[in-house]
Amino acid sequence: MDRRRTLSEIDGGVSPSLIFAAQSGEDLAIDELSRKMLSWSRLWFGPSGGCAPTEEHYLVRERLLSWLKRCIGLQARSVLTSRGEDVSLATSTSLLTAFLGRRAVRELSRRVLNDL
Amino acid sequence: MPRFVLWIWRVCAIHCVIGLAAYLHFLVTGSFRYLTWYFLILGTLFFLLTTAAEFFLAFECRAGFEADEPMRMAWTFIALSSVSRFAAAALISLDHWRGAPIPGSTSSVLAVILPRGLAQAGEVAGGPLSMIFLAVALSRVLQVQRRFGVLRGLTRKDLLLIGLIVAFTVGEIANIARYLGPSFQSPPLTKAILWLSDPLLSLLLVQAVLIRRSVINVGLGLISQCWGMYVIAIVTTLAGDASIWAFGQGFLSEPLIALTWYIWFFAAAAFASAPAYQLAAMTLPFHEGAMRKR
Repeated sequence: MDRRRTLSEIDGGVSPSLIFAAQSGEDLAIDELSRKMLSWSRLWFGPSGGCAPTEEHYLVRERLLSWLKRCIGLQARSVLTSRGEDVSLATSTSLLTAFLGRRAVRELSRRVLNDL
Repeated sequence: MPRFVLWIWRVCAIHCVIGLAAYLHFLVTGSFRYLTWYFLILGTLFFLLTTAAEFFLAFECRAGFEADEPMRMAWTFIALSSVSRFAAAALISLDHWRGAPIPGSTSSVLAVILPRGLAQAGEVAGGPLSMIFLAVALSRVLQVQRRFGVLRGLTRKDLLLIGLIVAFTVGEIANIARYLGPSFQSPPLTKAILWLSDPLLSLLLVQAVLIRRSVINVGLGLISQCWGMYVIAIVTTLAGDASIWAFGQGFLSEPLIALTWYIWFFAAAAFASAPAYQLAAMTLPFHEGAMRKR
C-alpha cells in the first residue's frame, strides 16, 4: 500500500486509469505469488487433515522415498513413520540434512520439487 | 556400487592376487624371499595408498557439512584417524629401511639420518591414537543416529554382545592395572600406551554393535553402507589382533601366520570404502542433476 501511494506521489500527472491498471497488475502478481506459496507449502508439508492429497503430493512422496532409499537406506521410511510422521519434505529434511549436509539436501529438495 | 568403492576393492583384489602368488611360492619353496618383498614394498604401498585415499575422501565429506552441522566434527576426527594410520604405515616402513644395510657395508644411510624408535611411534599412531580419533567420531555418529530414532530396538543378542565385550575390557583393564602396580617394573611410555589398544578396540566394538543395529534398522543405502563398512573394518581389525595374540600363544603354524597378515589389507580397504560411500550419497543429487541436463 505504501508503495502505491509513493508511485502516485512521484508523478501527480499520471492518469487515474494507468494507476488503476498498475494496481490491478500488482494485485494479480501478489495473488499469483500467494497461490504459488500456498501450493509449495502444501507440497512441502504434505496433505493436511482438511485437504485430499493431489497427484503432485503423490509425486513428491514417491520422489522423496526414492531419495531416502538410495541415500539413507531401504527402510529409512520406517524411521519417519515410527515417529508418527508421514513422509514429506518437512518431516524428512532434518534426517537427510543430518546425514547428507545442508548443501546436498538443498539440491535434493530442488530435484524433488522439479517441474511442480 | 560407487565408483571410488569399486576402485578400492579392485586394487585390493589385484593386490591380494599378487600376494597369493607370493604366498604360493612360500608354500612350495619354504622361502620367505618373495613374501617379504611383497609385504615390505607392495604391502606398504597399499597401506599408504588406502589411508591417503581415506583421508582425501573423509576430508571431502567434512567439506560437505557446514561448520555448525554435527557430522562435520565426526568427519574431522575420521580424517585425523586416517592421517594417523598413514603416518603409522610411513614410520614403520621407514624404520625397516633404516635397518636395511647398504650392499658392501654393515650400516645404512637412513640409520644415520633417521632417529630410533620410529616403529614404536608408528605403532602408537596407527594403534591407540587412530582408535581414539575413530571412537570420538563414531560417538558423534551414534549421538546423531539416536537423536533421529535411527538407533533403536537393541535386541537381547546386541546386549549380550555388548556385555561380553565390557566383561573382557574390565578384565583387560584389571590386567593393565596389575602390571602398573608396585610388584612390576614401570614399563616404557610407548609400551604403556600400546596397552590401551585392547580397551580401545573393545570400545570400538561396542560402537560397531550399535552401528550394526542402526544399519539393520534403516536397510541398505549409501549412508548405511558407509557405517556398515566401519563395522566390517573394526571386526577385521579384531580378527587381525586375535591372530597376533594366537601367534604369541603359539597356536598358529608358520604357513597360517603368513596367511593372517593379509587380514590387514581387507581392514584398510574397508576403512577407505566407508567415506567413499558417504561422499557418493552427498554428491548423488548433484550428479543426477548433471546427468539429466546432458
